[in-house]
Amino acid sequence: MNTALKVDNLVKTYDHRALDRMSFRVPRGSICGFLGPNGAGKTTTLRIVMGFAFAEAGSVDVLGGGAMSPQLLQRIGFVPEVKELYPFARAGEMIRLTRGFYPRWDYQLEAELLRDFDIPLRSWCTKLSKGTKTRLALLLAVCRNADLLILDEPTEGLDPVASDRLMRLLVQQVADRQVTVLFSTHQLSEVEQIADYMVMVNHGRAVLEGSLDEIRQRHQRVRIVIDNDRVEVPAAFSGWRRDGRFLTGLSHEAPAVLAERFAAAGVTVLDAEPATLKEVFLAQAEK
Amino acid sequence: MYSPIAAVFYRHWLELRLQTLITSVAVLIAGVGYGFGVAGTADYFATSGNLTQQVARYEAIRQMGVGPALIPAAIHALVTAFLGLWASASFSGGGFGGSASMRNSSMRHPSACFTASLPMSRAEVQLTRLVAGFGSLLAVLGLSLVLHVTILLIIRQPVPLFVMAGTTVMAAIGGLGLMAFVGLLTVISSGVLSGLVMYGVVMTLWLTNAGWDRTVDFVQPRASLFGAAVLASAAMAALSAAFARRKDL
Repeated sequence: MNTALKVDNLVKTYDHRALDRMSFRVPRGSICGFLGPNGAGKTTTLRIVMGFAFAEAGSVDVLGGGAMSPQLLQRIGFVPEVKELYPFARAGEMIRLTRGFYPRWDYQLEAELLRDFDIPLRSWCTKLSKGTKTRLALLLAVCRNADLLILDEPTEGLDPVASDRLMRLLVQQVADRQVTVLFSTHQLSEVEQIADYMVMVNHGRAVLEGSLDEIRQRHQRVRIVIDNDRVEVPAAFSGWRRDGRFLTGLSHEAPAVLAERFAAAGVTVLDAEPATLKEVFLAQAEK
Repeated sequence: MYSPIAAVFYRHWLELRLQTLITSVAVLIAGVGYGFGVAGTADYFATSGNLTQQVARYEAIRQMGVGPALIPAAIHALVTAFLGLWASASFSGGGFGGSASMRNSSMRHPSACFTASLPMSRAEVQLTRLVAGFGSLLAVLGLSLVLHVTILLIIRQPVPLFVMAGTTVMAAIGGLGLMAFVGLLTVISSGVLSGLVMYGVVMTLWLTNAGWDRTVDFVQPRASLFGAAVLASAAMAALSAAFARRKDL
């Protein structure tokens, strides 16, 4: 796999173990959703990838150039979790100063986004609404003409229309310029809408990784009916809900394999169909 | 236009411009006070004869041969010492947040992540921020010097230019030391503790600079003191650049 970002066995401890051998890959040219419950280690991972924090162990390889450096930062667009910009600058000044750092700044895209995002250039950054701050931070990240966009909850504070516009912008960036996008979010619908790759994290480590199609195919929602209470639910199953004699849950085994395995125990597999991303997410989060 | 070094200084200028403007206004107001202070004190000493006693009291002053220009020189030194202290405290910072003024106990703003995502090393940000702060300090001290000399010429008082320029340079170098110290504080620690330490240092310097004895000491520029202050500033700047490289933001 041609990777844009490779994270290997990152370990980071604050007052608790924030990252516990976090490892994953992001394929080049993909839109990768970085999913996980609160406190799962998403922001800590992105901070280490960006070089804001340092890991106790493990390594990061960004665009094949090793750990983050000023040279690599020229090829990265970043939107942090907290979208605060300089309290001493106006919106227009933020754009002017950021331009100076990037030789490939896209002036045309800047003009388009300014029109689209409706950013008041003369307003102080502190006076901007939460949504406008987010839009300005996105403009500053996207216009760098970066090879890799790292976005920590990019739609936070955006209304559904602006959020949808952003999703389309990201898809367009990937289509036009083969940018790789890694975005963390709590919104499963956003991942389903635009991502073609997904990394799910929980308790400081990656628990699920792969293309969306692959993950959906791998996880079946299975409904079975059991004849006696002594039947044990296989370990490969997760997220079980019991309703009398009926059990519904997720399995990453093919329906035919399941049917064969349960037949001996007197259990009938009623049906199996691809699970939704939400079901996969909830099952992983419960573990 | 693509120019990272111009862009980083533009960033620092945006951060410093309000403080520079406020300090410049203070310099202009102090300039008017300086004129009245020199004229009034000179009149008092001319009639009382106390100036001769004061000059006789301080061997260093006598050796410098300032003579009747002691009053303009001493009042300039007093104003410059306080101005240098105030200006360097408000112009100091590490480049990863708002300026570290005494009002603000927290030295790191959430926008530090934006700064760290720019294609510059943290050491470069830290050092250019010190240079920019020092540039602003020189500008306001220079403005103060020019203003005081002009006022002396207008009110027809003697102009001890060498001594006045010397005290200005001394204040600038002292200010550089304070700014380098605060820059170092911002990387080795953050939050309330740093604010309290800086507040303590500034207040100590402020109080120990008060009084006629200290002012007269300040009038006499000393090369060894300049050298020591520059070396200490360079050491602190290098240390802060080194620490900045391996510190979690």
